[in-house]
Amino acid sequence: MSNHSPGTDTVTYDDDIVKKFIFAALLFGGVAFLVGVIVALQLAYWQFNFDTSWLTFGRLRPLHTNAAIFAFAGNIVFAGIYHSTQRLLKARMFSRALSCIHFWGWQLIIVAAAISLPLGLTTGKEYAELEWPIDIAITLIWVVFAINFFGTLAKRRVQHIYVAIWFYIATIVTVAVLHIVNSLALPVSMMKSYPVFAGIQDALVQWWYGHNAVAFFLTTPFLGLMYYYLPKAVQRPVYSYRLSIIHFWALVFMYIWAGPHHLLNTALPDWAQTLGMIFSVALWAPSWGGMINGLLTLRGAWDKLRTEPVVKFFVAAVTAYGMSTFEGPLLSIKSVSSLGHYTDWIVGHVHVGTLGWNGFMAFGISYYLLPRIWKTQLYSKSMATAHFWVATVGIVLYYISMLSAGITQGLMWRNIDSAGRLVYPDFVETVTKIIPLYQVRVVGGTLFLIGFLIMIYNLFKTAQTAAKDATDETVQVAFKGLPGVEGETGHRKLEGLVTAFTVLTLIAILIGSVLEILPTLNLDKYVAPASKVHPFSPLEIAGRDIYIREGCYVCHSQMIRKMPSDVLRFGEPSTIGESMYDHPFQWGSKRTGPDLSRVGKKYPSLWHFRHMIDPRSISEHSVMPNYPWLASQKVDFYSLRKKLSVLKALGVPYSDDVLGRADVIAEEEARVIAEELKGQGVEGKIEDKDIIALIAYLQALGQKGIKE
Amino acid sequence: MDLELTCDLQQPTPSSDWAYLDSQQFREKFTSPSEPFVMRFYVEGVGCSKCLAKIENLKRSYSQVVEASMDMSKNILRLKITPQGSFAQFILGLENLGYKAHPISEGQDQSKLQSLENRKMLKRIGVAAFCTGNIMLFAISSYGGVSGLIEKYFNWLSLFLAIPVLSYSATPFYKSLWLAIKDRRPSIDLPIVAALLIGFSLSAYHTFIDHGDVYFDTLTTLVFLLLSARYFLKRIQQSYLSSSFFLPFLNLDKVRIWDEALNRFEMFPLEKVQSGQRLLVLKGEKVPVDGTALITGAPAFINNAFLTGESLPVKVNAKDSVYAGAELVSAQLEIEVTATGENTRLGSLFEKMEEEVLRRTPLLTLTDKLAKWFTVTTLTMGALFFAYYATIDLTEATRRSLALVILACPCALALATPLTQSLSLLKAAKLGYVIKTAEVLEKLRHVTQIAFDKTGTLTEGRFQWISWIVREPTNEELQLIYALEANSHHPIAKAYLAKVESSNSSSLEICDWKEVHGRGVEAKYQKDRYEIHALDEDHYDKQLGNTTQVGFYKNDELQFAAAFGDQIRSDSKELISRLKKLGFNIHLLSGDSEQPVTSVAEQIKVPTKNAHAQMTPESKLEWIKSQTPKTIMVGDGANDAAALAASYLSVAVQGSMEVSLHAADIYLSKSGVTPIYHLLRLGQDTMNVVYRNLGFSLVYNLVGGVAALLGYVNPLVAAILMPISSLCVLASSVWGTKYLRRLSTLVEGER
Amino acid sequence: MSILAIMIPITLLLAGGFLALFFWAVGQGQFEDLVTPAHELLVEDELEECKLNNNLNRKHQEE
Repeated sequence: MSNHSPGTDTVTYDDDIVKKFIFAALLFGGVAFLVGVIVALQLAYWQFNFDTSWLTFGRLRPLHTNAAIFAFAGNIVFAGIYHSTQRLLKARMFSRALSCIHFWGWQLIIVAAAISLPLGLTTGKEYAELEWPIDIAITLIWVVFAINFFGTLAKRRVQHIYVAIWFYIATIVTVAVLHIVNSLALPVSMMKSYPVFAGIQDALVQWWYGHNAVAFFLTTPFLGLMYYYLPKAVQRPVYSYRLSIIHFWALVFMYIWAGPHHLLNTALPDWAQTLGMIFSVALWAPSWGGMINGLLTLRGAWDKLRTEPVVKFFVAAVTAYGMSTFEGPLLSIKSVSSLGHYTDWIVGHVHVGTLGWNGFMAFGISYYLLPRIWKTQLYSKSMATAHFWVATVGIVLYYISMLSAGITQGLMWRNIDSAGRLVYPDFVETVTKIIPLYQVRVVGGTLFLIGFLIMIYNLFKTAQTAAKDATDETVQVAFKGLPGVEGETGHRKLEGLVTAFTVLTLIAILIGSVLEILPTLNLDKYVAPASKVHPFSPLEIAGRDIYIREGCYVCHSQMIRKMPSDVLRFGEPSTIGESMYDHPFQWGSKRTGPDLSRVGKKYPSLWHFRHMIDPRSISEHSVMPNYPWLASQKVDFYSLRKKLSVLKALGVPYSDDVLGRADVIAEEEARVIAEELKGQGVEGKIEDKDIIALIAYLQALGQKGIKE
Repeated sequence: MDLELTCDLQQPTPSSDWAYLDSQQFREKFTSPSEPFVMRFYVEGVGCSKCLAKIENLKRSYSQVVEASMDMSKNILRLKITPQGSFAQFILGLENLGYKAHPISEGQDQSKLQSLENRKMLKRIGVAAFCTGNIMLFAISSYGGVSGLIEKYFNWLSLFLAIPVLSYSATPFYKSLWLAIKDRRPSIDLPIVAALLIGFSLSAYHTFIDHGDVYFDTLTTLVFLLLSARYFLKRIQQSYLSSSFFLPFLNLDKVRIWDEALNRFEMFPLEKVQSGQRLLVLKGEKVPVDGTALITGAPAFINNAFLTGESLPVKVNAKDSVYAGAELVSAQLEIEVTATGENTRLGSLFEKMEEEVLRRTPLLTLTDKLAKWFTVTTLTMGALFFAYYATIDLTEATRRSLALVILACPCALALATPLTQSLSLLKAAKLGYVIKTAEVLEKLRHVTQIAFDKTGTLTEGRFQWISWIVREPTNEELQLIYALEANSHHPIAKAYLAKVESSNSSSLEICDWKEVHGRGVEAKYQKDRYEIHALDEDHYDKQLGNTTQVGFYKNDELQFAAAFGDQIRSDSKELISRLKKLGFNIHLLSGDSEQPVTSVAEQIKVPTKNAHAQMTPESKLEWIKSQTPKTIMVGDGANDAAALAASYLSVAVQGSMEVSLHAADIYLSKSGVTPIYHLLRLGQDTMNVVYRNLGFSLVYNLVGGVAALLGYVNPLVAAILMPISSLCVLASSVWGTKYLRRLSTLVEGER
Repeated sequence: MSILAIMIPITLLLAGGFLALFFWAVGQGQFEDLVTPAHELLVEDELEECKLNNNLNRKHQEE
C-alpha cells in the first residue's frame, strides 16, 4: 500500500469482474430477447412450437422470464453494483476469489436453468421455477455476493454511505429472505420437489415473493444504479439528495405488502385484497418521487438528451419506470383488475417495466461503462441513437398491442347481453380476435431484438479500439470523514464482517423458525367440513406433475372469480378449500386458454385425448401447441410412492395403504381410462402413457369436493 | 429543491493573514484535545462539485494535509493536518481560490448540540414510522373487513406495536406538557397528550375484552406526523435563526492582537478575542471591544459619536475606558480588552434589543392568549359533547370527541406568528435595518404619511465645494477653515475639509472650539471670534441656485462664503413617486434654508407646500405633534430625537445608534429612500402572511371542528389533517410572499 | 390464511432489521449532511498512471 501523502491511499478497482458481468448480461440478454421473440411468434403462429417438447411455449416461457430477469437483469445489476460500489466506497472489492465464485457460480446457475427448464424440470412457481438443487446454488452464490459486498462496505474509505449503496443493501437482504421463504420445498428426487405451502398459502407466499422479486430485484438495484449512473452521465448532482433518502426508506417499508394485488377478486379474503390494493396504490408516491428526482437531475443539462445516447436511454428508462409505477397501482384497484387480470394488459404492463426501465437502464449502463473500461470511445454514437429509436418503437408497438389485446379480451369475456348470457361463450373467439395484435407484438419484440443487435455490433467495433494493455483503474483517493482512519481498517473490517454475519444469522433464524412452524401447517384440522376436499389420487398426481412439466399453468388458470362473467363461463367461484392440497397452487395468472377449475367431467376422455394430440381437431382456431409425445412417453408409476409420501409429509391426508401401493393404484386407474378410450377407437398401448395420467388429472378438476 | 447552492468566489483581501491559526495559543483554544490536529472552518462560497474538486486538488498539493472534507449543508470544512503541517497554509490557499474561511471553536459551536438533538428526533421518528406502517397493515385489514381470530391477532399486534410509539417516540410531548403544568400554564400539547393517553387506554381495553373500536392507527399516525412536522420546523429554525445581530452589524472581521510568542501584533478574528488580550487600533478604525487604554506617550483621541452622538473628539489617557464603536482619530491606540461581543456596551444594547424584540407586541400577546384560550375551549367542548352524546351512542361519542380534540390546532396562533415575525426581523437585520420590536412590523401597515429629513436621506449627504462667494479666502483663512472644520463630522465640514486640504494647510492653535448642531462651528483665534455657518438670506447668491451656501464670519462679519452642492440620490425621485403611487403623503423637513429645500422638493416632485425649510429640532417636534395621519418620520437620530420619539413610527439614519434607538423605532445603517420603501413593504407583507395564516387556521378549525362533531371526520383522518394543517401554516410562513423571498437579492442588486 | 402466522413475523423481522439499520445510520451521522454527497459523486478521483506492466500491476493492489 503506497501513500503519496497522509490521508490518501492508492486503490486499484477490480474492473475485470465488471467486464465479465457485462459480457454475461449481453450474452444472456440476447438469449432472453431471442427466446422472447420465439414465444411471441408461438402465440401468433402456433406452428412455431415445432411439435417438439422442449420447444413448446409452456416450457420456453419460463426460460424467457428467467433469462430476462436473472441472466440479463441479474448480470447487469451485478456489473453495475461491482463497478459503482467500489467507486462509491473508494475501496476495491473485498475478495477477488469471491467475485470470481460469484460470477462463475451465477453463470452456471443460468446454464442449469437453460437446460432444466426446456426439459420440463420445473417447480411450477412463476419466477421461481428452478428446482431445489439450483435454488440451493442460488442461495450459496447469494451469500457469497453478500459477504463480498458487506466486506467491501467494511473497507470503505468514506464515512457517508451514498444512497445507491442503501438500495443495494436492501436488495441483497430482501432477495435473500424472499428467495429462501418462497423456495421452501421438500425434494422428491434430484430435480423434483413440492413446495411446502399449498393453495391459498402458496398463493400468498408466491405473490409476496413474486411482487417483491420485481421490487427488490428489478427495481431497487436499478434505482441504486440510476442514482449513480444518471448523475455521472449528465455531470449533475441528484436533484434532491434528501428526497432520494426519503424515497429509499419509504419504498423499503411499503413494498413488502403489495403482493396481494396479484390475487384480486380471487378466493383470497376480501380484507386481504383491500390491504394489497391500498398498499399498492400508496406505493405510487415513493416511486414517482424517485422518477421525479431522476428526471429533474437533468435540470440545466437537457441538451445532453439530444446529444448523448446514454442520456436518452436513461431518461427513457426513468420515464418508463414512472409509467409502470403509475399503471401498477392503477391495475391494483379491484375494478380495474377485474378487467385486466389474466389478460395481455398485464403482459404489456410488465414489458414496459422490463424492456423500458430495466432494458434501457442496462443498455445505457453498457454504453457508458464499456468504453470507459476499455479506455476508448464508443464506436458510433449514431448507431447507439438508432438503437434507441428502434428499441423505443419496438416497446411502443409491444405495449400498445398488448394493452389493446388485454382490454379487448377482457371486455369480450365480461360481455353479457340483456338476457344475462355471455355474448362470447366460446373462449377461442376471444383469442382469435387478438391474434393480429399478437402479430404486432412479434414485430415490436423483433425491433427490440434488432436494436440490441445493433448495440452488440457497435460494442464489438468499440472493443477493437480498446486499449491493448487496459489495466484496472488505479486511483488516488482521499479518506473522507472517518476518524482515526489511516491503517486502522481492522475495526471496520470487523464491522463489515459483523454485518455479514448478522445477515446470515437472520437468514438462519428464518430457516429455523420456518422449519419449526411447518407442523402447524396442517390445516385440515381447522378447515370446516363443508369446504373439505379429497386429495388427488395417485394417477391424478402423476397427471398433475405432467401438467406442471408441460407448463400448462402458463396459459390456463384454475381460479374462477366471484364475477358474473367468470361464473357464467366457467362455473361456481373457486373456494379456498378446493386448492388446499395443491403443492404448488395452480390458480394461474394468465388465460391464453380458458380456466380449467371445473373442467372435470365436462368433456369425455376422448375429447381430451384428441385435444392434446391436436387441439385444432377439436377447436379449429386454437393456438395451443400439439402435444403428440404425451401419447408415446411413459408414466413413471414407481416414483409415485415417493411423491405421495412427500405430499403426506406436507400435510396431504394420504393413508399408509395408498402410500404403499401408489403405483399399483395408479396403474389400475390408468387401465380404466385406457379401456374407455380403446372402446372409442384409440389404438395402441396407451395405459402406461403420460396422456392417460393427464386426462385423469383434468377429469378430476373441480370434482374433489366432499359431498355430504 | 435542496438549498439553492451557488458558487460564490470572493477576491482575497490583501491584508488578510492567517498565521495566527498555527499559533500555540490559538490552537489550544480551537482544537479539541482528542484531535489536536483537526480544526473546523465555516467556508463561504462552496456550491458545486467543481468547488469540491478544487478543494480536493488543493489538498493534494499540500503534503502535510491529511484531510479536507466539506459539509455543504452547513458550509463547514473539516481540516486535518499532520503534526508538521500548517493550517494557515491551506486556508491561505483556499482564500486564493476565492473561498473565505472562518475558524470555528469547538466550544462555541452550536451545530454539534443541534446534531445530537436532531439525531434523537430522527430515531423517534424512525420508530414511529416503522410501528405506524405495520399497524396500518392491520388497520386497513380491519377497515377491509377482517374478522374473527385474525382480527383479534391483528389488534394485539397493533397494541404491542403502539407501545414503543407512545412510550418512546411521544416523550417530547409529555416532557413539554409536564413543564407547562409545573409552570401552571396551559399548553398546546395538552390536547395531544390527552388524545394519546385516553385513546390508548380505550383501545387497549377494547382489545382485552375483544369488543369495540381500536384507535392504535390514529394515535401512532398522529405521533409520527407531528414529530415529522416539528422536526421540519426545527431544521428551518436552525438554519435561519442561529445568528445574532451584533457582529454582522459591526462589520469587522480581523483585528490586531498581541502575540507573546511572536512578540508582535498579529491579525486575529474578532469573534475569538478574549478579555485580557492586548489589541491595537489604528487611525480611522473603529474600536471593536470595550477596554482600558494603555497609553505610554502622547494621549489618544477618539470619537464617540457612534455611541453618544457627540462628534467632538475625546481625549483618552492611560487607564481610561474606551468602548466598542468609538472611532480612533489620532494615530494609534493600544487597549487591554475588558469586554467583547455581547458584553460590550454596544453589544448589550443589541442583546437587550434582541430580548425585547419579540415581546410585548399587541398582536403576539393577543395571539398567545387566544392560543391558550383555544386549547381550553376545545377540550371543554370535547368533554361537553361527549357527556351529551354518550347517552345517545357511546361509540360514536367517543369517536367524534376524539376526532375533535385531535383535529383542533392552534398552530397558526402559537407557532406561525412568532416565526413569521422573526423571519422578517432577521431578514431586516441582515440587510442592516435594526428594528427595535416586532410591534413595529404591525405598525408599519398603518402608516399613511412619510416625513423625510433632507440631508443624507434624499440627498447623498455628500457635499462638494462648488465655488467661493464674494471673494476667495486668504491662506490664513484656509488654515482657519481647516482648524474649525477638522473636528466636525457634518457633511459640509467634510466637504470643506476636502477642499482646503488640497491647499496644503497645517493646523493652527485655536481655542474654545464649539459646534452648534445644525448651525455651524465657531472658535477663537488670536483674540478674534470666527464662525462658519449657513449664509443668511440677504447674502444668498441666487445665481448659484440650489446650493448650500456657507459663510465665513469674523467677529460676526461676513468675510466670504462657499457654495456646496449636495446631489440628490439617484433613487430618490423614482422611489418618491413609487411611494406616492402607493398612496403615501410625502413631507420634507429640513434645517436648510428655503432655496435648497424647495429646489430638492421640485426635483423629486414633492408639492412645495409639503416642503418645510429652516426647521429647528423644536419646530420639527411641533410639526409632528400637529399631524393627524399616522406618520413615519425619517431623520437624524441625535438632532431630531424629540421629533422621532413623538412620531407614530420613526427611522433614524446615521448618528449614534444607542441614542437613536432611544428615540426611534428603527435604525438604518444605510441611508436613502429605498430602505424606507423596503421597510414599508416588509411590514405590509409580513402582516399579510400573518393574517393569511390566521385566516386559514380559523377556517380549518371551524370547518373541521364542526365536521368532527357532526361525525364526518374519522379520528384517523383527523390525525392526518392536523399535522398537515400545521405544516401548511409553517410552510406559508417560510414561503412568505414573493417580495419577501426576493428581498435580499433586491437589496444586493441595489448596492 | 394461517400462512400469516409466518409471513407477518417474517415481515416484521425484516422491517425490524431495516429499522435497526436506520438506527445505526442515524448514530453514524449518515443523515447529517444530505447535500454534499450528491456533489461528491461528480468529483473524479485522480488516476494514477502505473508505470509497471500488467503482470506487476497485481502488486499494486492493497490488501
